Amino acid sequence: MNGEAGDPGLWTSRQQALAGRSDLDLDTIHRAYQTAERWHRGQRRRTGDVYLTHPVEVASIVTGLGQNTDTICAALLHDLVDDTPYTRNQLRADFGPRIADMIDGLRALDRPEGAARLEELLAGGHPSSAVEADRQVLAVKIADRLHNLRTIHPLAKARQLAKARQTLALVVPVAQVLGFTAVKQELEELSLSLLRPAHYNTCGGPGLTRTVLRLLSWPLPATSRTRWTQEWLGELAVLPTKTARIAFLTRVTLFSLPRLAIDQRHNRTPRVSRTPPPTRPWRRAAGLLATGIVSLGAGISPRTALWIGALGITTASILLTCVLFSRDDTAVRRLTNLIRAWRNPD
Amino acid sequence: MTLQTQLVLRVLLEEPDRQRYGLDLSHALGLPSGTIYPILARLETVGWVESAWEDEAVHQRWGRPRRRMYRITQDGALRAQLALERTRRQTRGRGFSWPLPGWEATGP
Repeated sequence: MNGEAGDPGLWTSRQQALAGRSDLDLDTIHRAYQTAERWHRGQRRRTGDVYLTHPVEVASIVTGLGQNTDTICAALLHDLVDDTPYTRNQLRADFGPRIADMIDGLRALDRPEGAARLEELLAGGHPSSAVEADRQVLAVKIADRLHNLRTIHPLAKARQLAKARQTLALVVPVAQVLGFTAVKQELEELSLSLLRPAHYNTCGGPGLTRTVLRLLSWPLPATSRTRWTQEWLGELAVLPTKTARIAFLTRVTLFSLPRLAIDQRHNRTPRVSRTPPPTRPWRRAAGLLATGIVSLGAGISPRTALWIGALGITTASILLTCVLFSRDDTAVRRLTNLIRAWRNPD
Repeated sequence: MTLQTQLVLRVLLEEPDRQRYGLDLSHALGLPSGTIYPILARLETVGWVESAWEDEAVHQRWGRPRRRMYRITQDGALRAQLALERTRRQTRGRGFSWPLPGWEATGP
């Protein structure tokens, strides 16, 4: 049973990633790896994997975040004190106060007041409000959560949902504040896919739709962006066909977004409560036209709708031609020459 | 008040207690989906309409993102009726009638 636990492959496969970083103390990292390997030996994760895979994965995520030797060691050692007979004092003696303090900090985050600490950090809302030591501890915490979410399937559904919700509420914002964008994205996608499985499995590229909507909602003020994105994702999810979804997305982008953006950016007071001015002839005509457009939507007669549409397009193109030709008459002259040449070929 | 806004208010007034979502209103009215959200947002700003996220249990049971539900407020219902009545009186006085089916018949 110890055979796989002592598998040197796990170490050698990660060594390459570490080799590129000249600033790292590979000996200490290897020592941390060996300690973790010795104490976790024989333990398994709920997924059935050798337990050591977890600290090693967390350490490699942390390495990917550009963290230093201490943080990588802390990632390798993070479950030792809680899950094995290895003690805090041993840890302090073996790896020094810095790494031991980080492990203490990590364990403190799991206690109820840990959440309060995170909220405090978020309220600060700025990376500088996190002292460097906190940054390192949080990096390990975030990497730990990411690997746990990646391998969450053996947990009961209720616990999966609870983890996903907590991740969205606390871990994702912290990752955002610290600037770990890629990790933040993955945490978010993983949590959302747990909370909204049907949407994520049936809509075809929902991650893409989400990204597209998020990009499109950029003109809106930051405070209302999420609200509208969420609302439209909710509507999109119930549309049956791809065509309907694309049509919805197009309409929302072309018509809703600009108006919402203008209204909200300029804090424009809506004019709903004002009495309309007396109807003048041109207003009446405009009203009739608007009614025509609305009746189109109400589906009164497709044939009439077609006629109105055709008339509209013709008028628009005539107007456009007039405007274009009035600017510069070369085009008109060329056209008349062409017609003349066509009439009298000689 | 634009025609579309009047249409939205009318539908909301028909069943003041029913919660509706944007797409539902757009289907009910035959208005393009792009028009409905700005109107709802404006009505919400003046307090005629209120909105809230759908109950968590509902969207989780169906496994889809939550939806935003809209409902006309008590104050909004009162003011909307007055405003609609006023608009109609003014337009009718000038011989302008709404050629939409059921427009006059379902009036308050």
